[in-house]
Amino acid sequence: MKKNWQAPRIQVQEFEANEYVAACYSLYCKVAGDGEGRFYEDTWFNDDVDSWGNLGTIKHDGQLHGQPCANGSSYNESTKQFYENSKPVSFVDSVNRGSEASPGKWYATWGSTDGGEAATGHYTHYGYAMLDEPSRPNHS
Amino acid sequence: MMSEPRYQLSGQYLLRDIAGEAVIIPIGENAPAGNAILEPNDTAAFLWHAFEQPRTAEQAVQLALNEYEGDEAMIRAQVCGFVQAALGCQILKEADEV
Repeated sequence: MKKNWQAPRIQVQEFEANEYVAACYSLYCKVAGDGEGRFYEDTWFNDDVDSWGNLGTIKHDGQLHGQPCANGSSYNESTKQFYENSKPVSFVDSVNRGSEASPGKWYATWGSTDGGEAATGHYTHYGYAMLDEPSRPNHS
Repeated sequence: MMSEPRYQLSGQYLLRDIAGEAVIIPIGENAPAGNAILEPNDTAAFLWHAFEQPRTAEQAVQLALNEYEGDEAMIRAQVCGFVQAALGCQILKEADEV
């Protein structure tokens, strides 16, 4: 038995990405630390890194990396900004999150431009991206 | 003589059955309805499946006439309207020439 024809319609339910669906994670630079939050010492990034996870060669930036990027800066995907002590310190560009090194932790590279008064230019970072709250992966 | 254009799904969206309801989900970076969930009614979902392979609008009309009871002229007009709307939001595209 044939069904009754109805005009074909598609109902559209739009939604907006908001803070709730933006993942927050921190980026820990390995140039001057262990890439997981521990700072070793101020270090000039003067040599390329042959490979990092699945991210290929990391080009050095010739910059002096210090404690702030080693200790980690919280990165908010919505605002595209680092947050250190709850205030934006640097503008982030080209975050590249690679393969997962362990649950909630990924190989990552990113760039940043110092936004402070004593701006020192553009930095290239490599290290790990780690969820701020692994038990709440969608929380920001 | 020019042949009628054939249409097929663009690949910018997926149709999934969720809890018994058909839901169209944008997956393409360029899908116009990128921030939306689309809920087709029964006939729209039928036409979606009809264009899983390249067909002309008239071929889709004939499939609809085999499946549904209704005024033929109205069905033809509404299928053609659906095709134009689906082209507009890139659910359908003109099929590649073989």
